[in-house]
Amino acid sequence: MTRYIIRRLLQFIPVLLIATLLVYAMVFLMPGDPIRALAGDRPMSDAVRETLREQYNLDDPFLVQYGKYIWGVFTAADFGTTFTGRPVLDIIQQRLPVTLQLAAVALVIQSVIGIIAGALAAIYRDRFIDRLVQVSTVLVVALPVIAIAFLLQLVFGLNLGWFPIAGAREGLVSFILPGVAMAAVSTAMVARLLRGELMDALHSDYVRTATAKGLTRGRVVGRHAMRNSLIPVVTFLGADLATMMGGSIVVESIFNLPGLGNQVFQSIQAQEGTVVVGIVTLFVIFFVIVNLVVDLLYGLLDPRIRYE
Amino acid sequence: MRTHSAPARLVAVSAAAALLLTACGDDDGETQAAGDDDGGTLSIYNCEPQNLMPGNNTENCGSRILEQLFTGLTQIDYENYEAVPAVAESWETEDQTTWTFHLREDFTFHNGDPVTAQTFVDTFNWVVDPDNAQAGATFHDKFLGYDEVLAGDAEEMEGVRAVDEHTLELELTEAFGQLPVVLTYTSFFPMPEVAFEDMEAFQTAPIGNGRYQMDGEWVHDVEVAMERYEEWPGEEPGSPQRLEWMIYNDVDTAYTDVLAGNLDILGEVPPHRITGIEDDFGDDWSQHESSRFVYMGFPLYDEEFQDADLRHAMSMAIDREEIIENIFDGSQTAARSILPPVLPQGRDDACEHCHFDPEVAADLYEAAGGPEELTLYTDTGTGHDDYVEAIGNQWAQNLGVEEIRYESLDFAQYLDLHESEGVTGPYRLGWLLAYPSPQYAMEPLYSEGAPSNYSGYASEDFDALIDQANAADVDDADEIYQQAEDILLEDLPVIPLWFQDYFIVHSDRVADVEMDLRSYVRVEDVTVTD
Repeated sequence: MTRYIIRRLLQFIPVLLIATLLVYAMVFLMPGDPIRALAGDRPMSDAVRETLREQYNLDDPFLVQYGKYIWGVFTAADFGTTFTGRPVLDIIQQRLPVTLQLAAVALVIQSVIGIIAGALAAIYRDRFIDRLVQVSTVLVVALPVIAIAFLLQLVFGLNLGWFPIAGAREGLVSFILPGVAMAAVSTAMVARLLRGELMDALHSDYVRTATAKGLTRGRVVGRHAMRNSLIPVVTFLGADLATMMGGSIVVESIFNLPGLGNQVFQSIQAQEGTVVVGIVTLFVIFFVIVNLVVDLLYGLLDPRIRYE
Repeated sequence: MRTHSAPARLVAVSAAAALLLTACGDDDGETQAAGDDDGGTLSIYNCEPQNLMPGNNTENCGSRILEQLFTGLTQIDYENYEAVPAVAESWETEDQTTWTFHLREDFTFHNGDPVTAQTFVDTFNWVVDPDNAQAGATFHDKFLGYDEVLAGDAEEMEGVRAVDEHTLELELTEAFGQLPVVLTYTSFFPMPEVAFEDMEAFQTAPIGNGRYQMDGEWVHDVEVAMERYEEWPGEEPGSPQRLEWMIYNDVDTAYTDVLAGNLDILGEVPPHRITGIEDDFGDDWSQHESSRFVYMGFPLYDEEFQDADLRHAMSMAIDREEIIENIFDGSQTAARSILPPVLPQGRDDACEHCHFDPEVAADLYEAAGGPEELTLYTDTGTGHDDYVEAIGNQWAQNLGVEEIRYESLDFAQYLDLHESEGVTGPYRLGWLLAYPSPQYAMEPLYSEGAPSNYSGYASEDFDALIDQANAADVDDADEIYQQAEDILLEDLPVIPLWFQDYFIVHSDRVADVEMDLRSYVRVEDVTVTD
């Protein structure tokens, strides 16, 4: 088990190097001088421009720039600074908690509501609750996230005034609307996925056996059918949590949450290569860890799965 | 279950207690603030500043904040846009070249340090020092010795001298009557000694000498909070007791937040909201003219656009009102001048060739041998593409231009193309006055070799008039600047399109919301009514 984890972690290194190199290339090969754009319509004196270009290694060939960056990361934990002089690490430290809270709220919503809805739909198949789940999930999946976000903002933020519209100042409450917006589509997916899996399981031989042994309905569904049906759901939730980082761009922007998704978007526009690389590296690490955790969770759900 | 109930109850009780405590705390805070002075708290929309270093600031998001934290030698009287005393109580000059500023003795930084003539000498030199890479350094280029410092040949500018503790002498390379107005700009704000020791630390909570002082640090992407500095010795202290600059990355979200009553002022309503503004806000909105000048420039280094008649024709073939109505919902003022009409020196109708007259335009265009194909250039974003396309359509329709192509580039790329003279057709650009002087509306854009003269326009007559106006006493300069403008309007190196209007929306708890010609809400004058 430990060896398995170490082996998986070692695999990160090439993944990380390739990912950062690709991102670095994409941002730095964008045309135009980001330093010049800093000054807007106004001119910038050549002396200032040269000092800055030198400071950010912008005159070096691309691979040298990348090399200097990675060297700084490994030798001094220096993730570079933005063109306006702010350390990237500082930005990440400030913004990571926001995105993590958002992701956590979304994950809780989509797993709790998604699993309850999916299980109820499967157990009460073809009854009212099943129809309700079926129709509402189709509706949610069909709506773009941006529409859901605006709708929530207008109804629950502006008209009813129950939740804040913007910012993260009010703690957890601030994350409810954006969390719902971000979780909406996945909640529907989880519900539909679990409904299908659970219905299959309820008709399988082992459930029939368990029922025949005289176990209570609750025990049959809860301990036997659910446990098996949850494996694909956990896989989905894991993959979804990882992609949520990227998906946070729209939601964070609409709800003015100072998180990482939002920052990536702004930094790409400003051609802030170092910021983009720093944050994307973080996303990659996150993605890999979540995948590992998901794989390990399989073992808990299905004891037959073992790791060597 | 029963065993869990005791801790659960405990949690509930302490949570309730905590709520109660915070509630009390809030109340206390408010009454206390009201007790000091009933200025109240004002929350204002802002965008995330690039930095909070006075010398490095060239954009609005930081500038609005710095203006409240710092007071320069002079300041603008927003009634008539003239320079009036601030840290300097008076100034005199014989020849517009050597200026003597007499400083007040009672100005202090928020940390208690006095503001002296030496403060300004140190600040100006630090900003210009190329090692510090300050974007605002170019604003100092009229001081004697600027070039030497920039080239690394001198440590300090020869023309910036402290005569005694409260007398500052500024010597320029040439006569410049607009100096007192220029000195109102952010790049000339004084910085305390502590700033130079660690500028990074300084700008997380700048220590200025302005009406307001920082309350805590700049919380990136969240807010900048400031309290009135009670020791500020100037004439009109800020009206609100506290300013909270709320940082949004999306103006639409800010608009919704004003609607919901969570934010007091938004000074730049997004264009697509303007049609609904009356329904949304009733009386709580206003429209303001600004100095933001939007124009179509010509690459005059290209043979094709040499003929002034051609440029007149293209200007007269644009129906500005129609575009303003259809694309901007009336949120611009058609430009018939180059000097913004909001400036005292601006004239509403100075441009002969800025009136829509398709017939005359078509004849002129044909006579001038206007090209049948055109490429129009624009930078992407914030709706520039829309109106550039509308102008292209009008040229196609009114001038019979057969083929029109559009090049839409990212801003950084766009500027590079201009600097390498790679633009082959009319292009859009804008200009906003950093300080209210007709000099700033013209010299950087149309003087031969000037840094923002992207059209490559060169006119000896124009340059001579600008020099003459710059050298004149501020009272005599207006008319000469207008003569210089007349030359531009005849040569038309750029087609004036419109001056942008800004829309402010505000909550019902504030009054006296005004805007200056740079589109800055004068937050220090806003009255908080509840």
